[in-house]
Amino acid sequence: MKAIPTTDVPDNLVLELRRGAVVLAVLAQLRTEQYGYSLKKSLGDAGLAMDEGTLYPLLRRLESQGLLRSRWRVEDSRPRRYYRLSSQGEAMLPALRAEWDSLTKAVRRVIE
Amino acid sequence: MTSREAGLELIRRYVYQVGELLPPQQRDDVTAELRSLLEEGVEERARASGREVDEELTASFLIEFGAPGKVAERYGGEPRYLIGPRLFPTFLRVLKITWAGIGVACLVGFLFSAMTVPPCGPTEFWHVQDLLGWLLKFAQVTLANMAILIFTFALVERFLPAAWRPKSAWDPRKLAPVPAAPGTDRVSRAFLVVKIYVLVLLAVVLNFYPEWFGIVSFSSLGVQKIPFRDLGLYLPVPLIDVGWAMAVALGIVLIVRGRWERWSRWAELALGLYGAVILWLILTHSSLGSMHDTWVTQQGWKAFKNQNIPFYWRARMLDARMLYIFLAVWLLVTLAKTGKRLYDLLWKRTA
Repeated sequence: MKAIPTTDVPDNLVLELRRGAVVLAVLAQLRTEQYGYSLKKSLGDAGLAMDEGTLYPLLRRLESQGLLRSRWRVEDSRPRRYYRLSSQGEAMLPALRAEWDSLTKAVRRVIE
Repeated sequence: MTSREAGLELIRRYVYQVGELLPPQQRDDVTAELRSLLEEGVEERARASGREVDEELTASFLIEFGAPGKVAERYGGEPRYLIGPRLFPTFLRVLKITWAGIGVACLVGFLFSAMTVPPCGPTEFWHVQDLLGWLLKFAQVTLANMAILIFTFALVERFLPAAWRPKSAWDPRKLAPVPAAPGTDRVSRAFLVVKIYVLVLLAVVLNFYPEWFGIVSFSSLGVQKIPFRDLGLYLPVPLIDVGWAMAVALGIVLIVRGRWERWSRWAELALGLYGAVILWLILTHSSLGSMHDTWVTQQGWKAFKNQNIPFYWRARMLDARMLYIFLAVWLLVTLAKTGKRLYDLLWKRTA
């Protein structure tokens, strides 16, 4: 995972902070079908750059948990694995989002 | 090979290495996806930097991606252990306890042989050679002990994880009450594992290698093993096996439940009584004086009175007498311990 623009915060603390948020971001992005590399780009464009070594295994884990489904497609003579939310993931996303909103509000109240 | 082919060859090797570290059922699927993603990533990187894919660019991309072992670990999900973090502290304690026991046994053996056995080696450095021999024995036994423990703990890690896993559904109303004397319900899992380990070893020796079940005698004839049966000791093997099996079963239950309870205290007390009965049977049915009688019959009472007894026979008579005393003391200690447990259970209200 790329370090966010901080100079003094150790990488492991940044990783801890981002771990849960990244799952939510990936699930939210996969409401539309994407393959690994395009997802990495779209997350990066949104300011949430992730390194591939973390993102791709995460996709597999979310799939094995039943939150994503995938299929192979050949595009530009290259086989690509496309992911999107499963029905279970679609049901889970609003609840996760509500949880995130509540958490960020609470943390903001605490730190300000 | 063109520079592009050299770069793609690096990806091929990299993906192969990651695949070798993955479980077989995941391998083909993950490596196919990984290869496609890496090739696309490198090409995108080349486009962005306005150059062609080559070995250097691919190498720097792969270094950023991570070492094959690390990437495989991320794909592997939950880490897999031979002995996991739950069992490792117990494993380490058992290893230390057994090593200390083996070390003390070897040290006592060496000191005893150094004091009692006359030099019989070819050189004046016989004791040094003896010490080296005992050090070698220590190394062999500790290594064998470690191998057995690793194997046993790995089996437990593989097949019995659910028993020690914290339960997700629980009810505070079902928590055990704090014992009248806090801490008395505490069990030492490491001690129990050592106890089970020793009992299983003893059972194997008693049932399959009974000739090893004896005492070591140090005499002018050198170090000799004397099986108990040669000393006239009566061993009710089936009854002993039953007692040990029950002790092992109680040990396993205590390890799984993690604390003493009233019923397990009573079970321990019953086992103590059972052990005392077996010791009583051994003492009353053994003919530990038979060697003495045999020798007197063969050589005559006069020779015995004159103490004209060869060392070989004297040593065995002494061994038999020592064994008798040892068993009698053991029986008394067992009865005293059982009595104390009964007192604690009835009057001290321990767990």
